Amino acid sequence: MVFLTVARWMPQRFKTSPSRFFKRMQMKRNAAKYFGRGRNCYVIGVLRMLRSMRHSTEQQARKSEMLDRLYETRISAACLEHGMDKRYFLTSLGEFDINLNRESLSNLAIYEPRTFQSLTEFVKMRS
Amino acid sequence: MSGQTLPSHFVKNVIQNGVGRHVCQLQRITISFCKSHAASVGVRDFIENYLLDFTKANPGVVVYLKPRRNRKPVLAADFLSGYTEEVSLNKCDKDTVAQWVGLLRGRSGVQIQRLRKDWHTDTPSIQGIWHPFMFKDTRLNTSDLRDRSLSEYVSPYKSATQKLVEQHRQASERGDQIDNKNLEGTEV
Repeated sequence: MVFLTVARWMPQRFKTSPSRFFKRMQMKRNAAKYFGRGRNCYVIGVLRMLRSMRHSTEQQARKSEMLDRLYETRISAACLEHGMDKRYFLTSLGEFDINLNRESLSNLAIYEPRTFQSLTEFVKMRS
Repeated sequence: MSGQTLPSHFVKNVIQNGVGRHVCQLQRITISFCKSHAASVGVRDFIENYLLDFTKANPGVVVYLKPRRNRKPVLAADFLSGYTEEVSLNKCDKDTVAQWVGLLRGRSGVQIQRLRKDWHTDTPSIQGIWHPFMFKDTRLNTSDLRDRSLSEYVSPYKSATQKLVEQHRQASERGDQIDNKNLEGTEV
């Protein structure tokens, strides 16, 4: 038998869990820029917050891939300027044991363009 | 979501601090407390027991005390960079208050935020940042806007004349017999 009488006399705020305030605070912090009730109401906003967290987790794995594609675009543009194919350039660098990743190569192409030119000249000479 | 909502910034530290003489980045602390309420007991104990030792050890930090009736105790720390941080000392004991003060004393005046990049340079480029005219013919610098030759169509494919000229040149390099009959009037 469960005795509920005494518990029924207690005020509502003592029956809810102590972390209620903090859960709602967390939801409001994360959903501060949402539209409408998703910003203010816990039950609606928490679903949106959890979905965005899920999206972030999934995107973490894809972030490096996306950045690599961006770097390859930049390397491709720099290679074409020096009359070279991007794929040929990258595979040749790997063959000659010049282990620069795409991020470094695109940074060189932007900030140290003569170094990048010398890399393309190197590949042309050695091929 | 959090990336947009929670603030983030690039690295901006007082990196040169400590290269010469170390300068304490905490400018002043302002302790607002109640003289009678139970929530400020720890703060009052701190002021009685630990505060004067702190002020003697840190003469460069200005301490303001604000007794305000029926308010919760708060510690506001102002840094040399202009950043202010407020810490709630509600129901904290005197050791906790001392820990907070000690933490703020050692901090640089930079707000704790997500760093977008964990490096920074004032000189990102030694050779000069790439621009579209870097590897182009410098003839363009002195060309006239009305120069028609710059508007000529450049074909990616070789014309028949060009192919024949190239064949002739290669043949002459190889030392073959050249038949000049059909090439009169063409520049070789």
